[in-house]
Parts: sequence; structure tokens; C-alpha cells
Amino acid sequence: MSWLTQWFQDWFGDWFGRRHQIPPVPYTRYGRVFDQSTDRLFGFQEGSWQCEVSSGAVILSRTDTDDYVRMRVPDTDCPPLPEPNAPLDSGLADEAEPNRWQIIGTPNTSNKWLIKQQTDQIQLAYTCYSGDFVIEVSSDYVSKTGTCTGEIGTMSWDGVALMFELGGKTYGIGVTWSHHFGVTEVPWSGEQSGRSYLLFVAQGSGVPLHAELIIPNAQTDVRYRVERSGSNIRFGMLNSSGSWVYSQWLAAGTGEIQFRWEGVRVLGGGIL
Amino acid sequence: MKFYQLQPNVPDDSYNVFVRVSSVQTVSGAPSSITVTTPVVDLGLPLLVRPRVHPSGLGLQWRASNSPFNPWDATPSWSNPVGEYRYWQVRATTTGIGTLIERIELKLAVVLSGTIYGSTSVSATMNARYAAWGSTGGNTGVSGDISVGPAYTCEIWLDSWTNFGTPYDYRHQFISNVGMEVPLYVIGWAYDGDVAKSVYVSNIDEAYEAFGGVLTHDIPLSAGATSFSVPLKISPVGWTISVVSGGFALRNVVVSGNTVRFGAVPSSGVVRFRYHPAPPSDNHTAYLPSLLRAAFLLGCRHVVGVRVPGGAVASASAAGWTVMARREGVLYNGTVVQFLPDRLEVSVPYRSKRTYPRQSDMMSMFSRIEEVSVIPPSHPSWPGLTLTLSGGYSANYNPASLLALANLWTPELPGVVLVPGMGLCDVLKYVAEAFVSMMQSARCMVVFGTSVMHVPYITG
Repeated sequence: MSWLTQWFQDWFGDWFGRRHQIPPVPYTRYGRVFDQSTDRLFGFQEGSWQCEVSSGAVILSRTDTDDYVRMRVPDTDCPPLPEPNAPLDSGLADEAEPNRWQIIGTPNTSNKWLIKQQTDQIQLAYTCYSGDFVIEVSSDYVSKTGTCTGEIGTMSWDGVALMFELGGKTYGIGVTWSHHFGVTEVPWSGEQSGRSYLLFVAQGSGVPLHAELIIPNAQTDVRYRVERSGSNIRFGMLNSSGSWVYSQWLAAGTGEIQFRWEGVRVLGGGIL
Repeated sequence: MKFYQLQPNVPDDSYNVFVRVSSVQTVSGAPSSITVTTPVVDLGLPLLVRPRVHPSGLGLQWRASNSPFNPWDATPSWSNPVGEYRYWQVRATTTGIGTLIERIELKLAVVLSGTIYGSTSVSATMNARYAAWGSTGGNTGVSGDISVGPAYTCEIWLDSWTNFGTPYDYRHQFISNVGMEVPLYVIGWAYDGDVAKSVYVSNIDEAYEAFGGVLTHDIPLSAGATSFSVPLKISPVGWTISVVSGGFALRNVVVSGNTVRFGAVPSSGVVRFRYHPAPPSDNHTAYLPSLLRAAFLLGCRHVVGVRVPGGAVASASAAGWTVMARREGVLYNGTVVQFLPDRLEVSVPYRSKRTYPRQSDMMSMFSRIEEVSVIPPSHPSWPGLTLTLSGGYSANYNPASLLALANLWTPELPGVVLVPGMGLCDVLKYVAEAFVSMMQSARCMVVFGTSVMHVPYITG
């Protein structure tokens, strides 16, 4: 083959639907490297040599010599993090997935994930859902420390939310502890404060945001949802009667999403 | 609609709410399945492979061919073929949202009595034997991964070789440990000799003759000649020269590379040059004549040489006739085969011409030719041809030739098979498994890795 022919095939082969020949690889094991001469990780890339995964899959590293392939979903039973390779190679999600979650702060994950509003964040290491989806989170307010101050007539919601970016906006839904300062006729329980769901949309950074829906007096072991249809999303919350209450549809956007749990404070600027 | 201000964290506020997240579940929208596909794998030879995936409950598909194909090609089909193919591609699929695809392996399958078996248990046996021999100086070991088939890990053992004076004492020791005298099958690379066959040799000279460890050339010289060349590089300390005819003496003989220089000879004559070819630099660790010599020097008595296959024989064709050297290697390039009316002459370079009288039974006559094989056309008549052979070379000593050997050759008797110059960690998995299979079926012990690499030139 002349250099001109090779050059033509390399640069224009795809144009004409004919791609050049990729030489076969000599490697016979993938996903675990016992021997560098014969084994490669799923995520290896040497020139044009690589494994291919389908669009709904992601390759995650476990160690320098071990990786695996999993679905691009956030499903979890919230195992202890980071889990350092035990039990290795079980083939089960939530076991030995040390690099699936990116952790900031010191969440206590010995029994599910106890996330502190002020310091902690747990983020999925990859993006999910190229199309429509519904995900559901089980969560709960546990406790609070310190004091919460606010001007009379204002409101605040402090808690931990499932957050994500989409179409240039930040979206979140979570479990919060709510204060209505100086107001005792709060819409739930006749107290100044109590647990509630909160969802919010933040447009840009450091600019005013708006919350779309707050359901007061959330139950323990609450559940909330995020749903997308086309380019619209909505949030759902399970009320005390066991019924799902949904926000209106919000024009959001398409594309894969990276989820995280993060502490939030939402300050209300007016009197209810 | 009410408006709020979001402040993810308020540094000067001590308020801190603790929230527990217990689970996340995809209600809808998860992929129905995911797939990971390997590149196209070249095994070097057509081989029977049993693709494996871990965990075992995953979907597994593969395709194979003896012609290379691209990973995205529509053909060959994903039909999970069973057979010997050189090129393979495997893909694993899961539909389980909580299932991880951990590993894909292309495992060499062993055919025994028409049934395909894996070799999981074999690797464990091999490991045990290696462990038992650890103190005798092999430099690699294996361990089995029983759950998913033989997955080798290497345990480096210190080699007991220290110097030229005691290069192979560990091999002595380990033969003694066997407790009985068994053949030592030495695998290696050579310029000459049968490939993939056991060649029993009783002494060093026989070993040299069998595998090209020493070559003898009768060189005609013209008056005034000052040099001649031989086909292979000459070992610096391994040559002799004598004058067969001409009545002169050679003076100031100097050997360099594959050339012999001397003072001009006063008349024509013939000199006999006998030399040990130096092994190629990239093959000296497994140079068979050197290994066999070492074995005899160590006192081994039942020594068998086995030359790796995979090279090519020199050949030539014309008028429907094909002539091929009987042995692989460069030594037979340039061989001239001449069909004369009453005889056939074979002239291997630097060797005396051999003559075979024509016989009425041509096939019987051809079968007695020592140097070459003659393949006539379908309705042959004695030709008037002169053919010059070319294209011969020896196989490289590498995992591919070792694998070919393991597939083509089986030790005739229980014994010790020495695979020199290469640790078990260095050979491909399917090579190791092929030898493990051999070990089991032929009741042999296989030792990988020696220190022959430290003794590159012991041919003299």
C-alpha cells in the first residue's frame, strides 16, 4: 500500500463510509490486569485499541489493575464510602465501587449517608439519563446543631438537597428544617419551625432564586422524586397522606445529568 | 410565586442540619441493557477459545474468524462459534441495574476426547507443584483463581544462578528431587533440525549435529584468494580450519562476523571450515545447542532437544514441481536441485553435492532424498529442471512459537520439560495453559524460566 493510499484511507475513509483497518490486539483479558503482557482494563486506550461500551454504560476504575462496567444510573442503597474493594469482583452494585462517589467533607456513611449541611457533599462520578427518567430518593431529617437566626418576618430552610445542573440552572430538592421567624401561625403544626420538603431552582450564581413548592410537615423516612419528560422536569414529594404531590413542569433542558447531595440554605424574603 | 435566595452554606451561621439519605432508585429511564465489547483479539494462531465473562450470569456473545476484521464490521456474525480461529471478539451484556460487568476473558479451551474442558483445576495443580519447587530456583510461579478460571499471578523467586562456574546447579537439584531418572526435554531455538519433534541426543556432539550447533563447510579457493564467507556469524572461540587439498598452509587467519580472512593462498585448493554459529542476539537465551551442551555438562543423561516451530522451509516451484527443504531455516536457502536425465543432484550451500540416481519409481526415489522433499505434479514425467530454493528461516523464540510447539508436540515419556529464557509471567496465558495441559496429559513437569540468559555464548 502506498503512502498516498494509506493517507487517503486514514483521512477520508470515514467520509466514504469505509474506515481503515484497525490491527487486532494481543490481549486476552479485560477488566483485570494480572499480567501486563496479556491483560488490559476495560478503560484502556492504546492508539485505536480500546473496549467499547454502550451509551448507557460507564467504565469505572477500582484500582490501578481493576475496573468494571456499570449502568449510568444513580441507584444505590447508600453503602459505606469509600468502599475499598470489598468484596472484590462480586459483580454487585454498591460493593467495591470506591470511585463511584466523589466526597467532600466528612459525611458519616457507616449507616446510610448522614450528610452535614455545612460541610458535606456526595456527588456521583458520572452523568446519567440521556432521555426521560424518574428517580426516587428516600431521605430524612435527623438532627440539627447550633442556632438559627433570622429577621422577623423572614423564612429559612436549612437541609440537604439532591442537586443538579441543567440548561444553565441549578435545581434541587431535599429535606429541610424550616423557620418562620416571629411567626407562630406557620402553615404547619402551629410552631415557628418544623421539617419540610423544599425544591428550588437557582438561575445563575449568587442571584435570587425561586422555590416552586414547599410541602410542610414532612414525614419521617420521606421520599421525593425528580422526573423528566422531554426537556421538562418536575419534582414530586410524598405527602403525609401517602400521595405524591408534584410541582408544575419546568422547562429545563435535555442531556445527561450529574447528581449530588449538598447542604443548602434558602432564605425567604417576605412574610407569608 | 414566591422568591427566595439560595445560599448553599452560610459560613458565619453555626446552624447545621443533618440529613440522612437512605436510597436512590431509578423508577424509569434506566437503560434496558448495557454492553461492553472487546477489541478484535489476535491469538497469533487459530485456536479454540472459550470466552468467559465474570460474573458468570451475564450475557455473552462472541464472533471469530481466521481473517482479520474491524471491531465495527457487520461480519462475522455474533454467533458464538466453536472452532479454531485466530481472530476473536467478545461482548458482555447485563440487563441488571445492580449488576457490574467485572471481567471478560478469552480462555484457551482444551480438547480432550472430543469434549471441551476448561483448565481451572489444572492451574491449581500447577501452582502446587511450583510452590513445592520454589527452593530449587525457578523464577516464576502461578496461582489459580478458582472462581473464574485460571488467573495467573506471579510470585518472583530468586534465581540461584550466580556465575558461569555454577550456572545450572539448581537444575541438578531439581532433577534429583524427582527421585528417578527421567528425560529432560529442552525446548529451544536452533538454526537447523526437525521442529516440534523429540530428538534424543546422547552427547554434546550429537546435539550439535542435530540442531546446527556446529557446521562444516568445504570451501573451494582460487589462487590468490584472501577470504571467504559463511552463511552464519561465527562464534569467536568456536572454529577450526584445515586444508583439504592444494598443498598450502593458511597464514594469519582472522575471523570477523561471518567472514574468514587470511594471507593470499598460492594455489587453488579446498579448505574445511568447521565452526559454531553464534546465536542471534535476540535468541541466545534459548539457543538449543548451548542448552543441550549445558545439560550434558551438568551430568544429565537422558536429554531430548525440541526445536520450536513456526519458521519456514526454503522452497522453489516450477512447471508444477515443488521442492522444499526438509528443515526450516536459512541454511537451506540457495540449495540447488537439478533434475538431470539420469540423476537428481542436490547442492546445499557449502556442503558436498549429493547425487541420487534416477529410478523408475520416482516417489520411492524422492522419499530417500535426505535434504529436500520433492512434490511432483499430478501426472509427472521426469523434468529437466534446475530449482534454487529460497525463503527459509527459523521461527522466533517467543510465546507464539511456544504455543505452536505445545499444540504440535507431546513428550513421549514422563519427564521434565524445560522452557528456558522466559518466565511464566512472560508468556501469554494461553501458552501457559497449553503447557499446563501438556503437563497433565503427558505426566510431565514443566519448568519455565532459567538463567541461560546469563550465559549467552557457551558454544565453544
